[in-house]
Amino acid sequence: MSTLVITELMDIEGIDGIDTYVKNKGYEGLKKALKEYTPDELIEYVKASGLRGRGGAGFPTGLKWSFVPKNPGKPKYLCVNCDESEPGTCKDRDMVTYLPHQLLEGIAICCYAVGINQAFIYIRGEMLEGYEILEKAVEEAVQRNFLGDNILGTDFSLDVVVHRGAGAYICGEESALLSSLEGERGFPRLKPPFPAVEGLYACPTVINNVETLSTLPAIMRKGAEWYSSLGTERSKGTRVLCLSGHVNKPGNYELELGASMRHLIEECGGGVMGGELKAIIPGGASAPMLTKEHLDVALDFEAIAAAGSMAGSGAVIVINDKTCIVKTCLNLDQFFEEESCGKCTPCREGTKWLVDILTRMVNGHGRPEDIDLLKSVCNNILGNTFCPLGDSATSCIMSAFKYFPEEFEHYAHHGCSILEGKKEMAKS
Amino acid sequence: MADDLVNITIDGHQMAVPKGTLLVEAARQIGIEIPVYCYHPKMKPVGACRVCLVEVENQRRPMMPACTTTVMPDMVVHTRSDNAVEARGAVLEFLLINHPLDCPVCDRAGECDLQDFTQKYGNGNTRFIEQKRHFAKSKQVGKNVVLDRERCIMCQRCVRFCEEIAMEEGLVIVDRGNRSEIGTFEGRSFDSKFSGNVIELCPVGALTAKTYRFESRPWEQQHYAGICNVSSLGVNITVDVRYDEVVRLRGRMNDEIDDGWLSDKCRYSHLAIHSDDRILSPMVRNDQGQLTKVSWAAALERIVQAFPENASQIGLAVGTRLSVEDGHMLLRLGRGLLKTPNVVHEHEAESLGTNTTLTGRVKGCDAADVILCLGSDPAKSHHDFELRIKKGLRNKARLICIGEQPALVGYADYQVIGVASELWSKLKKELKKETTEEESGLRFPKPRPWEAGGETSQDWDALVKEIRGAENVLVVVSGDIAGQGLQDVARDVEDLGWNTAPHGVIHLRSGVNPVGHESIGLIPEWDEDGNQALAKAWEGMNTDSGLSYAEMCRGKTEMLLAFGCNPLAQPESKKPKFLVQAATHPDETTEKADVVLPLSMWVEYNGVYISTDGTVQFNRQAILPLGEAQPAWSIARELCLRLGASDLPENPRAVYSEVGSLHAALAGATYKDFQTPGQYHWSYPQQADLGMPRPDLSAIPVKEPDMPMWMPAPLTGSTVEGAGRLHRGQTPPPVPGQRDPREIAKLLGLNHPMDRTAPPALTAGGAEKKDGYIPLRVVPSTSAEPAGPTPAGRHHEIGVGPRRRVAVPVAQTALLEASDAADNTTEDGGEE
Repeated sequence: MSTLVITELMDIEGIDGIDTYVKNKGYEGLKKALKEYTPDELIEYVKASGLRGRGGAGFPTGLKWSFVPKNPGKPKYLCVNCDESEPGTCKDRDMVTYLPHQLLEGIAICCYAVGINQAFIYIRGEMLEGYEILEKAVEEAVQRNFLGDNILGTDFSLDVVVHRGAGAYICGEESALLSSLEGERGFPRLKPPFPAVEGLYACPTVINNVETLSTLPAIMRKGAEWYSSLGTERSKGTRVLCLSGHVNKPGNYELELGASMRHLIEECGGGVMGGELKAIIPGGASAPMLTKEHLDVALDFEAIAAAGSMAGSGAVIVINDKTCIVKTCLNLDQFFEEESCGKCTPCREGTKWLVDILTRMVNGHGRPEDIDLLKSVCNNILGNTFCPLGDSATSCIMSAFKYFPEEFEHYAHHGCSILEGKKEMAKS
Repeated sequence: MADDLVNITIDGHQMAVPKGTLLVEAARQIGIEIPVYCYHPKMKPVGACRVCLVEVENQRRPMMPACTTTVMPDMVVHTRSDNAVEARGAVLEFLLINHPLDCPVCDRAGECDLQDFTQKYGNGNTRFIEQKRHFAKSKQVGKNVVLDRERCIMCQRCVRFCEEIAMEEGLVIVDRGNRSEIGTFEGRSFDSKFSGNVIELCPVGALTAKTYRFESRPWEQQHYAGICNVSSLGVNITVDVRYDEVVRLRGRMNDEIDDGWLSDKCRYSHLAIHSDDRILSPMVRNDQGQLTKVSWAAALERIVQAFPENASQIGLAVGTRLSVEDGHMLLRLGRGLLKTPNVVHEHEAESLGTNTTLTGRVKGCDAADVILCLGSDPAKSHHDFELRIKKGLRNKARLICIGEQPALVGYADYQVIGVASELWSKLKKELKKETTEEESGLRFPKPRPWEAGGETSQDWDALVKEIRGAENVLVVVSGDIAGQGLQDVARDVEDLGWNTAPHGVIHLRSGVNPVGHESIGLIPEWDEDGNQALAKAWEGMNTDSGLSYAEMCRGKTEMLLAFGCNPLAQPESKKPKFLVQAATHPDETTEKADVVLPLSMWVEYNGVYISTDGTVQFNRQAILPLGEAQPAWSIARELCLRLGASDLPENPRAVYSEVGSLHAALAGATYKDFQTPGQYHWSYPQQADLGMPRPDLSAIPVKEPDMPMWMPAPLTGSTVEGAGRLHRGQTPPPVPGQRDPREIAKLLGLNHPMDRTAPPALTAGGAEKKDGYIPLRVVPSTSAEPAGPTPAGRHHEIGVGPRRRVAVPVAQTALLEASDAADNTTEDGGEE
């Protein structure tokens, strides 16, 4: 079993209450940060830990904080991205539900380091339970002066507002999140200006993922050096991986970065359920598929990228060999079509077109030319969209074409899945 | 200066452009077209439509939208590389898959950006076989605006106009993703004062005007540069004429005045031109008290006979909708020949006299720190000015409303309710006090009041401090300012040192052309010293001071001639013994007038108008006068002739030259002034812009474009400047990568219609031919066409069909000719 950093306290009874959390060294990290470090030192400390953002892009957290201007003459804000909507991802939900105070402590540490007095937690609208828990936790923390005015006797004050989204995947994209938080339509914004310079209400804004911030208390308690000793050369520490799909024991597993997919699926997940392994989506629905040949690829940012996919949100979806890949693609793309915000043309029109073509193929009306058409439509979306959502919609299809072209061919020529085709042949 | 320039390379052409220039603008400067839909130079770029994707070297994502990317040092951009062409084609394909392709019944066809760019850059066929998205065809979203959601390409221009420019609730996007549609908030109607602008902004036929739907096709129209005849702002318009009928008015870009926008009040003012109640023939009241139609000669004779012995018993009232030329000829009739002192325009009471110089300009809003509405309500009286104030607010201005409660108060930073003149004298006393107080250095970005729901403050001190800290102050007054006790405002502002153009006082006048009429002396007091040239030319003219307009309305003269005004609608008005009215539409005065003359409206004759801030502009005749209507200058000229004058100017051009030679205020003015765009604001739809030839790109000097805004080489209908690239007789701009249809025609040995020297002859009984205007006619195949190597019997035109790309390989020509020879039917000759 690898070292637990984020989920260490998760199994303790009543850990969502402040008393239990404090009893288990809760808010020690914040105390240490306030007492022993100046904000600048704290940023250097986080840089030294090697912590990288867990939202998907893997950007070094300390570096991100250092981009925020020191004295902009305007307020600065922290937005916590808890709009976890990527299919297959369910880590933030658990962290908010079970360890709300760990998140709040992380928020306080971050705000102290960057000099922020106002933080927003943008929580996905559907996570009603998490919202209620967070609201309660904020109240408790304010009562105990871990949040609020003059925290723990210092002159650092912090107000945390929990804001519920209204059900849009795109609002997990940081600039769309800001738009949504400001009360506007959840459209992604032009960058530059980047949020660190001009974000929420045109003020410097830090946007961090729940997992990133939840890691901070442990780093403060146990030291940056300890944290950076975990993981690989470039991907430090641990990360929570959301294992789902055809595995015997799906769930959230915290592993040191560098652990292989085989370890996750076979040791942690208890092996593939109901058949042989066919494909793995290693980083949420936006990530291109990999196959069983990639089982030994390590689950860190670089290794997965080298294998042709991305670590993304850490959602590993396992697909067994009884699954039709074309239908899988249709399912995934239906999600992206539903969630496309409609701002830019290629994504708005392209995702719908992809779904239309795939639906037609799955319904048995595929044509041989649909293969090229699908590829071409994907190509036309790829790299032409405003934000990465459109690209995401093509990644499953493009990777499926790479590894399972015969499945599409079969649909195009025979009007049915290759799996059904085999079945029919077996009968005759 | 060199530090502010950035060297970039576009399609192999090196150029230096100012820092912060958008790629799309940089490319436009050297004549390279990058198609756009969502981009509009007057609004913030959004990068939504993606049709402007270009390839930029050494970027993480090589395809960059040209409308949101600013130039970077040593940037290398390709607009015609394989990748760029592919991306552009891809976006157009995406836009078209759910488009209904109903161009044959679409109002926009012919001036549609989607049509144009598809033709240039799109794929020739479709690969889409799925079900298209369908919506109910037409949806009325507002009083004047009809929406077709199927045609919409979600460029958001309309939504952004409402949000950014008009800064009010209006059109919004409903739903998301592929189901997105334009709409209004539930239960609301889109009834903005500026709603018509979204129609013009729409690059496709999704938003259409209720008044224009199915009325006309762009290629049937002629476009004329006009001036709005509704307010005194002098908003520039394009008058679109179909078969001698004005079918619509559109905004015409003039950064000094209208910024390209047009209020609905002006946009739909053309409906009056062809309305059923236009007065179209001279009428004389008979013994039974009925107005009966008579000939012009009879009507004028009746007037001449009625002139009383005592000339001072004659009054001439001039409406401000009339041009400077009209005013001048009426002045000649009144003071020059009838020798009456009573020649005034209808809003002379608002005049501040000729000694006051006001420095405020409409464009002064842009850079103003404080806009001070002093007892005036520009939002009610001058709609187009409201948009300009809002532009100022977007930039940096603070709006202070003093006096009555203007409609703009929701946008005001400070509001003080009370009597404007009292508050003003209090304020100016405060401002003149010496102050030693240091201003605080740090200023937070101002919370926008329209977002905060109207931040108003009664805090007088804060207001005074705000004004004191301001460098540029624009004081807005309107209407009868003497009546409001503000007659000294100009001097006060001078004392305060604010009178540096374009800031200072702007006086929003009632009517249309009061400033023009005042500049030629249509006020009761006659300035003898300033008009010596006139006195010399018009020997024996009356130089006394005369009656005011209000006095004339009260029947102080025996005979009143009212030209384009309605004196009997004034309070306490009384009909004089003999009343003559020249009017366009019947009103209170018409009911009692003894003689009624049909007056031309502003689009029916050339004229010069001077706007409220002193901009001299030319309005071009767009249609022939309706019925027997005549412009006022012409009526005045006829009366002058009947009074024995000779040597009178014969057309507006000559009248205006006379104005220039006789009036000190307009000394030296001629119509030639308007031929140089920039010197005056007037500009004719510029040929060079519409058919901009590709310059020699190797030696392009870097210079500011003449008109910073929208040079619509690539754009058509949706642009602010002008629609309808395909003017008859004008060369369409060359399309990169596409052969000139004329070249193709030449290659095929055909006669391209644009190369024809003479228009095809009309068949017998054809409609009246007006210069350059050829009505649609079927021309027999035997009609005289210029000789050329035209294959016998062939009348197809290649490449100019109705927006259809016809690619005819040379080898097929013979085949085509054979089929044509078999087909002896006639073809439409003049249609494009």
